[in-house]
Amino acid sequence: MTSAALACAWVLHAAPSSDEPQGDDVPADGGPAATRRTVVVTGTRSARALDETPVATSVISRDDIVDVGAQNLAEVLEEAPGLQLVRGVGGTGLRLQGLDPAYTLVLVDGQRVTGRVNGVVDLSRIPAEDLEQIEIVRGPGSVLWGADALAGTINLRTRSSDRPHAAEATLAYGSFATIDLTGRAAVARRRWASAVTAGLHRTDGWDADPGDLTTTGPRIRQWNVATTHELRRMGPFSMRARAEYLRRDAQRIDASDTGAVLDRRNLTETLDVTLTPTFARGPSELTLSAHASLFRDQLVQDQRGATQLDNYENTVDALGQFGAVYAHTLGSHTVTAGVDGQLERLIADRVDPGRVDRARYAMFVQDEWVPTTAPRIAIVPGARVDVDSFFGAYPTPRLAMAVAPKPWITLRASFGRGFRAPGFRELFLRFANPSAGYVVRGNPDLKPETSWGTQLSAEITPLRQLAIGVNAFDNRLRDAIVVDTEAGTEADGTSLFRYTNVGEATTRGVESTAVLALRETLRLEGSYTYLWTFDGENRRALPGRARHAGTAGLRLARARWGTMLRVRASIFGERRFYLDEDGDGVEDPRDSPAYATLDLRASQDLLADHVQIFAGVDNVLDAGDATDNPLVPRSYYGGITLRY
Amino acid sequence: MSTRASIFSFVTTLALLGCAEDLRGALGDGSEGADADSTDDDTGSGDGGPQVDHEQDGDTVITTVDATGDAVWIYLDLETRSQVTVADPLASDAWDLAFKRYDIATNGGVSGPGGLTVAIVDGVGLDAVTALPSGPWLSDAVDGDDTNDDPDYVMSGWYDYDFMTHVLTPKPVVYVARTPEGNAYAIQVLDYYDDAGSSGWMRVRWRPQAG
Repeated sequence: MTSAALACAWVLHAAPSSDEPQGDDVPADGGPAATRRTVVVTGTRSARALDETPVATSVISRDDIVDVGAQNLAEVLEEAPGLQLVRGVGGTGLRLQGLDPAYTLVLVDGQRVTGRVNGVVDLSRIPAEDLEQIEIVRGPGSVLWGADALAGTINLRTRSSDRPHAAEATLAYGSFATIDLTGRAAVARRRWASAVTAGLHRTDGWDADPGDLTTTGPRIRQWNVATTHELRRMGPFSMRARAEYLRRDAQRIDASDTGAVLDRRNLTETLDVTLTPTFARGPSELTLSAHASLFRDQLVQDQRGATQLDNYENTVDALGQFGAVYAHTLGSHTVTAGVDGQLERLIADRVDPGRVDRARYAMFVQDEWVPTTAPRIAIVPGARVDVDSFFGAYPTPRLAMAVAPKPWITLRASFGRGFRAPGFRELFLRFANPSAGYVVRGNPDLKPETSWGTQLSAEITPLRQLAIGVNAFDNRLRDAIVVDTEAGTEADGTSLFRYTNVGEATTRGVESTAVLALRETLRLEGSYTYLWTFDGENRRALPGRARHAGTAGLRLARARWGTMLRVRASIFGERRFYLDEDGDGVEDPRDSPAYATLDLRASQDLLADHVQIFAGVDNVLDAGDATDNPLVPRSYYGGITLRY
Repeated sequence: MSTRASIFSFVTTLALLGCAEDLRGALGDGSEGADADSTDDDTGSGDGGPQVDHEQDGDTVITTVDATGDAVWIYLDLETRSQVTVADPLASDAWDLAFKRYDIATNGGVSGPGGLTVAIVDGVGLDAVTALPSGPWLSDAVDGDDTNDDPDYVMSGWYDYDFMTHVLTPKPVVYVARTPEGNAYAIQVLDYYDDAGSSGWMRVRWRPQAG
């Protein structure tokens, strides 16, 4: 593996992958693999080599996604260092640096993903088969990407094709009658490339407590299809177009706190169309983008034995985005400037009015100044202003710096502001619960939630085979939106609950990773995260966060035999929750015990890489429980991949 | 502005073209077993009135009231054990207790002319009340300084409210009511939810209280 990729060890997953050609990310012109450098875009909004980007970026490569056998994004991130997945009503979300999923921006090819439920983009919905690279930038990223990038930004970059012909198909079968069938066909010529990807996923779901009627993991039927088309280097012009449709049908049985048994079904559809023309000439590059995205979710809730709690909710979230980013290099300065526009429409049964439109426009500018390259120093000030049709103008500055005093060490720092725009429901919800006599009302006067975030990181490569990364962070979330339960009464006397900007949270900690790669045969990786959190409103630690967490990984490969063994483990320390257990109206702290997860996977290539058979066990230790930690129980799978 | 409108229209059109079937009609036929209609009362003998049902339990009576309506009071006369229809509750002493969702009104004070008064025995169950309490004897009062605009019902303290789950749980508290006719009854609320988990199904256990 190149030392260039190792240099960013912070990035455990980016680090060494084998040099053997895999997938179709090898240049068609047969360029030597050694010149391949990981290129990232999320930290600066333009392409940078991973080891030179002034903004610390974690990368998970296609090889890593394939290695761990992940079928969806949640499975990819499950045992990645410094991340915690949280599973709840909105699906599986990512908790970054101790902040809730609502504070992490999720992008696909730089376009924001719609369809947050309870603030969560469900990562288990996003299929892995078309992902080329996952980039994670920690800390506020609003300076380039706008709203929601407080704890961090996760940018999913989809696959491109370089080989003249490529096709692959994977079929896996596992516990709970889980079937994953994915396929991809791609062609590439000198000036263009096209690919089609499709996937089918089904599972019976699972139940942590067979003694009751309810289920824990939903029964899922999902299919998706995506197509990508590219024009390349037509003079200064290139263009990429992508369209994707996904449909997911999830069914489960829940019990309400009053003892009602509810059959719930969510039928979720997403449709995304993205067009990205690029003009590059000499030191300047202009990238335009147009993106339309549609999220529709139908919820049917059917109460057994009665109709009082029966419910149908139709939610449509439509988003149109357009942007232009111009980057120009002049001497030691690379100036990036751009505009973004976003038009969003929500149609939902629980908002009042039932249809709400919002528009947001933004402009940003950033200067990447590299006064010297020996040693390499980069100073990157930037600022952005968003103007929203509800809360008005909101500025977000950031200053990032990177210094590489020696070739084997890179220090980075960034200090910036992030904001989260109030969601449609927080602004316009109207929800009445007559059984308990209260009404929850949105508040159109909400301000954005804001944070200041500081990140200080060091990446050290003391040996060619060893890479160490350390990142210290401090995030201060202010004006967080919470429900005020004493907001007065409605005209008819029922209690009024209302959203207000009075919450506060602080998270601080240290994330550290180490990767040891011995040739192509052995890779060992480990990480440790220390996290301190404080909920300023309730004067206590944030619930469900583990103060200590760690991951470990082992990859053993023998290229000559085509054999690979992959072990991934994670451990989370005690987590504190708060529940009113004695009914006195005061929440009592309760510590949920530490737990560990362990996944094993082995694969064998046959017929010169054209066939791979694999088998694995997930959650070997059978960790998890129904209340605090609904992890999929121990499960077994096996399957086959065909590649051409 | 017209560009914006046309983009919105475009995405809305896309939305309406959504491929999946509409599930709006799926309710009511997908559940296991027939859905009981909220007026179809199967909690007991069917004796007591359209929204009221009684079960004899030793020397006590368990009465279930369908108080699921947001705007309808269900009036109960304890002496006759029956639901009564009241045109003007402020001019009638035919009723003793009235139920609407989780509210319980009594025919006294601001709620009615019957002069019904209530003594509250806190922290005990019905079986622990063996004699007529000494008082104080209270009745429904005008709205005081609280978070709602309702009258201060003398029996409003029957439940604990969980802010997290929004579930109402009955407290161990017994109300001894002296009715317009001069009889005394001891009353305890047992539940607010029926077997299917629906709210507004008040279950009270009560008996005449000898003094």
